Amino acid sequence: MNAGGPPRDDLDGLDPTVEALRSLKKDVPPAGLASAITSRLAQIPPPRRPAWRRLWGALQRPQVVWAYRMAIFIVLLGIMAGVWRLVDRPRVEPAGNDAFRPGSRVVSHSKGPAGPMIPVTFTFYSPKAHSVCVVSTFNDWDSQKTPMKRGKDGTWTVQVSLPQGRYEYMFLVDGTRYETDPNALELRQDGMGNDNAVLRL
Amino acid sequence: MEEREVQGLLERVLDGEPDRFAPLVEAYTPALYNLAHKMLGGSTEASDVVQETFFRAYRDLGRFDGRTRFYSWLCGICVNVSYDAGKRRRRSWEREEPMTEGAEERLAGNSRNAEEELIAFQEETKLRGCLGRIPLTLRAALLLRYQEDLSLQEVADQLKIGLSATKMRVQRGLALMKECMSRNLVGGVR
Repeated sequence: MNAGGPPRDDLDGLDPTVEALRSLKKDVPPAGLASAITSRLAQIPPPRRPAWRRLWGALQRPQVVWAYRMAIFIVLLGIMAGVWRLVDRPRVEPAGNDAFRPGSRVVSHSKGPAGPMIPVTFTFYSPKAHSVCVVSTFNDWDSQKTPMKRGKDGTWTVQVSLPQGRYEYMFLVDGTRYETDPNALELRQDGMGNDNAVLRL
Repeated sequence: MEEREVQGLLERVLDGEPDRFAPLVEAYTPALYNLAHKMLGGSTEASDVVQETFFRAYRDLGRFDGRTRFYSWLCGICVNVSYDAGKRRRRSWEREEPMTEGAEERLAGNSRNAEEELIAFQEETKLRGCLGRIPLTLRAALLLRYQEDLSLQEVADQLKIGLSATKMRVQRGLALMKECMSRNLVGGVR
């Protein structure tokens, strides 16, 4: 039963009583005792693990472990996506402020057939201008495609719906003068001495 | 039987294969019988103790946590069952194993060393007699330690006492055994 011989300790020494006890003849069970015990055990309900050990064992199974690893992974992805949206989310301004603060604003989100389309209102305050339009990467810098409309207070506005992405834009005033959005959150040099405003959706 | 093999069998028993318990009964019956027999000194009752030990072990197998050897766990149960049986019965050890009964058989065997055998037998009988006279708690400590080869820590675990208390019991048991062997006391030793 005990591999490597009997354990010794400081109590044993060379004590003759210990040696006598160790060498005391083993008493042998009557023949058939083990069989009789096995037969008796067969008549009682088989043992079961306690409920908490069964539950713990079930949680340790490889497929379950993978399931909750996946669940944790998905939850983490969700949290990261949420954090990303919070950090990178375009500002949502009340419509009433547009008249006084020129710039581009996301006013709401909606879903289009080709994915989520985001309505964006561009505003630019220029009371003396005769025409203003948005030229951008979303309209191939075409000055005809996105003209703005003048309000009574001299604020020019136009609303477009765009898919998610990154866009550069400028305001073209009176067809000749390019103006950078003074409220742009991000700018990028265009290589010709101007700064393009950058809009991320 | 290797402990890893034992643990494997136990797992399978708990996984719904009760037949896997049979090899364990087969493997440990002799050792437990030896322990019970020496604890109580009665072969019939020792068989009952072994049966009850396996019954309790089988019933409570789910509670065995595997932190100790299965064999030492069985020994602990066996000692407890023996305590219960010992309380029910206070018979003398020597009454069940008369010194002359075996001696006569040996003398009748025409052995060349019959006299030496007789002396050895008398010594063993005396040892058993002394073992039977010391208190059950001390007897259990001595038997687990020196007959079943459990470590002191395992003895402490199975008797549910501290290591120091276990050493004390072993030392006290050995002292009483020596006293009994030297004086050949008749009756109980305290």
